Amino acid sequence: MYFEDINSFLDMGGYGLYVWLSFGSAALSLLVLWLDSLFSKRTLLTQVLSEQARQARIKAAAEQSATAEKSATAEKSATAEQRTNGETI
Amino acid sequence: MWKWLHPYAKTERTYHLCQRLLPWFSVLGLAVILFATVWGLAYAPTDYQQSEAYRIIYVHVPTAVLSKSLYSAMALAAFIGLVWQVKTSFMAMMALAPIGATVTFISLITGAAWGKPMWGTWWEWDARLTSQLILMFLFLGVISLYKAFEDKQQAGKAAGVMAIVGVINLPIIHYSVEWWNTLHQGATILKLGKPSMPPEMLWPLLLSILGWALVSGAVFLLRMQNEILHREIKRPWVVALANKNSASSEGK
Repeated sequence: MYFEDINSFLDMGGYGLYVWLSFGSAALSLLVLWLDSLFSKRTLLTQVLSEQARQARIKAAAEQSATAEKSATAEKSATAEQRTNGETI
Repeated sequence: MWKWLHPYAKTERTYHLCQRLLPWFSVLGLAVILFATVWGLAYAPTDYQQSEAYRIIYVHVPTAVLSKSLYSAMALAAFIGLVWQVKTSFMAMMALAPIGATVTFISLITGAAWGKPMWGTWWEWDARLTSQLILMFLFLGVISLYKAFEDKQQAGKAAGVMAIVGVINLPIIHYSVEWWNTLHQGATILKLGKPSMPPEMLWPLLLSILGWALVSGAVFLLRMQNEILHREIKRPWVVALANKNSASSEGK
């Protein structure tokens, strides 16, 4: 160790402010860059999953409406038949 | 070489290659950077002229050196993208740009913090400082130009042209200390002949350059993966990957 104790290390011969400002801002900038990269990866992967879920919902809804429409038309024709039956009798 | 390179133009393979290399670059890079910084800050001898303030060199020089290397790498990627239309090269360009901007920013901040005690000013509009500031604006310009286009192939071409044109700034930065009268000192390591620095000061400096390079490499791998995911978000392999990823994180 070049310095005698921790205080002289922190003081940096009177230049402590400038030295620690440099290293601190460098560490902070690097941390921000790294966290940004990490979180955008996570965001992208969740985006893929939510898009997949959305597609599944769209598909399910389309199927549901198709079957509902089919049964609705079947019901409609059934009642119409009944009505015509009633009228003829 | 083309035969060897060709599979890496496919995004899926590139993604997995990045994934494999990522832990090595991250762990090794952080270890080297930490080791070199502690060495430089606490164990390297003092400077007879600048006393302890010179220790800023152990973050200022690595970032300044890397800012230029990263710009060259980005411009090279842009060139490959424009000439050979390799799909992944614009992605590499866009993965490099934010790293370059950050590293250039650090070199400017640390330069200011070094300039205040030594020159008596945080900032001076002299050749070296101004050309370095322009380098940061070039990085930011490439990023903004890319983001301005909806069609990403078009965006890559426009930003790529800007990156290549900006290469003119690199020799200006390098020779600015010789061509103009400037506050900034001349080259210490990267010059012909012997470096004007004793080895016990030089070694931690070289190591910290290596550490910063490795860490930049790690962030590049991560950002490259992000670029690939962003462009290929609808591909089946990406969907499969996201499912696998969420399954493994739920299992923890």
